[in-house]
Parts: sequence; C-alpha cells; structure tokens
Amino acid sequence: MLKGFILAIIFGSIVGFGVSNILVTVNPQKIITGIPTPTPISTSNSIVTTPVISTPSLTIEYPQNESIVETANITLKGNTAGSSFVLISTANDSYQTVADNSGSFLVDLSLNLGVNLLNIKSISPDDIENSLELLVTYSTAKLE
Amino acid sequence: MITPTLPAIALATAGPTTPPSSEIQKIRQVIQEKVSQKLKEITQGETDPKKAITATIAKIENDTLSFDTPSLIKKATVDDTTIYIGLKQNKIKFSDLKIGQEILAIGLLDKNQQLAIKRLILTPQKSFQNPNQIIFGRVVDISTSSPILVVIPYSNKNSQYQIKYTVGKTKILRQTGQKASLESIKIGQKIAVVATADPLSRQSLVSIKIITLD
Repeated sequence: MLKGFILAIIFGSIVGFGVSNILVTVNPQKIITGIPTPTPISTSNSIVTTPVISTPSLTIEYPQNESIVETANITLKGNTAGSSFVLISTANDSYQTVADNSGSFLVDLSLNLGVNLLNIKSISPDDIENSLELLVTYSTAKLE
Repeated sequence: MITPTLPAIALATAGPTTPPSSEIQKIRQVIQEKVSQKLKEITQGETDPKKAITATIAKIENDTLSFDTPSLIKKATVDDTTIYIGLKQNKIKFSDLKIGQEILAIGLLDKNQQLAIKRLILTPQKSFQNPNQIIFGRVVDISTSSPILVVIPYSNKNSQYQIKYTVGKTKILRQTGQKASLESIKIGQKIAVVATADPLSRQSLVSIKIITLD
C-alpha cells in the first residue's frame, strides 16, 4: 500500500514536471511571467532609422515683428531654405529676391509712414512654400 | 556658458608665428566658434523695447488694458503721459476707451512682456490689412478668349485660382527681375503672382505682378 502510494507520487511528479517543461519550451513568456512584457523595438542588431523630413522654415532677423523703425527705406534680412525664391508684398509694392545657398537673403524695401503689414513668402526649389506676416511701423516720433 | 575674455579673443584672432599643430588649430576653432556664437547671441538678444501692436481691447482695469490679439503682448499699462487719439485724429481720454475697440498701441515693452503705452490710437475695424496676396503655383490653363490664367497653388493642390491680367498694366517678370512677355507664360509653368481680390468675382484675383519661376 505504502509502496504503491510512493510510486504514485513519483509517477505523478514525473508526469507533472514533464508536462510543465514542455509548455515552458513551447510558450516561455506566458508560462514564466503570466504578465505581458513590453515589445522590444528591435530584436536584431541592425539600427532602424526613421527618415527625418525637414521642412524648411522662413525667419526674419530684421526688422522684428511689431517693431518701430525710424527710416522709410530698410533692408529686410531673413533666412529660408537655400536657393528659395522670396517674394514680399507691402500695401503698395512687392519685392523679390533669391536666397543664397545657405538660405540667407536681403531685400531693400520702402515702407509707408505708419503701420505696414508685410506678407512674406518663399518657395524652395522643391516647391515647399513658407509664409509669414510682419507688422512694422515706420515712425519718427520720440517715445521717451 | 563661456564668456568671451580678452585672452580668448586674442587667441582666436592672433596669427601664429610658427605653423600650429592640429591640436592648437582645433582649440582655436572651438574658441572662435564659441566667441562668434556668443557675439551672435548678444547682438540678436538685444530686442528693441519700442513696439507697436494692433489689438482689440478685451478688458479695461484701472491703468491696465488686456488685449485680444495674435501678438505675444497681451497686456499693457497706461500712465499720465499716455496720449490717446480718436478715430477722427482728435484727442480722447482713457475713460473714452471701450471693450471691443481696435487700437494701435505704441510704447515700450518691459521684461514681463507688458507694454507701457505712450501713444494709443483708435483704428477702424481691420484697417491694417495688406490687400496684396502672394500665390505660388503652376499654370494649368490659359484662356484664349479672355485675359485669364488658371493656376493651381502649391499650398493647396485641390484648389485653383483664376488670375486676371491686364495687358500693359500687369507686370510680367522673370525670377531675376528682368522684364518678360505674356507670351513667355506657358501651361505647366511655375509662377508667382502678386494679386488683389477681384471685386467682381470671389473665384478670381486681379494680378499686379506675375513672375515666371522656371
């Protein structure tokens, strides 16, 4: 009786460990943790790179937006994508230039007395457009 | 942060008497870059405190005005020296100001981005608009019966503009600024247009200048 009982325990242990070992081999994560683990970004040794799409921008260094200038004739200084065509419109006129390879551009323009709203647009050689508005006031009045 | 000092500038600008080693050249290059970066920061960081903004008055409290404006300057203060000018160029008082009025505020900007108004001018609604629009696009059709070009803009390829032109009045230029002829404009050409809204039609624009870009 006791011999049979011991044999049953040994047999049960062998069967139990054997089955669990098979399950661990088939589906290790599920059995070992039972908790979902984060998916790795890459399991291979190769570096996965995402292409960076850079959109050329348009910035104006001078004059600053909402600034006051004391002369009618100013040189606008800006930067955009290299070799872009740049067009600036004031209420009375428009001015054009082509930015250099680094994207820098200078445009001489004439302002009206008072508030001037400048529309500035650039288009890169690959047809990417950028635009901004600049409010510049031409006034010789002293504020102090 | 590296503060440019005299020895650094001297090192960056002084010419070597003997051919420098690659290490000295490297150090010199780094210092030159730092100095020019710092100088750039200094010159660009100097913002002129004199500002002129257009805004709509949103709130009036004691000596402070709050604005509804796309500008970063949302608040302003007035004092005894502030001059107020009405729509008829007449002098008005602070008590004449009302919420919803459009103004041009000229003053000095402080560190808290608050404008100390020296001159406040009432302006008519939407008075500071630039009527001249700029369109970059490609010519898709040229009317043979009327002076109209059809252009699809790069900014929205699902739309199109009818660009009216007037022979002898609309300036036709090349990218270089040289004069060009209307005949030089072809279907498929990339152009830039400066135009105003057509009072007769919402779908069309009246061109002032057409510039061929390729």
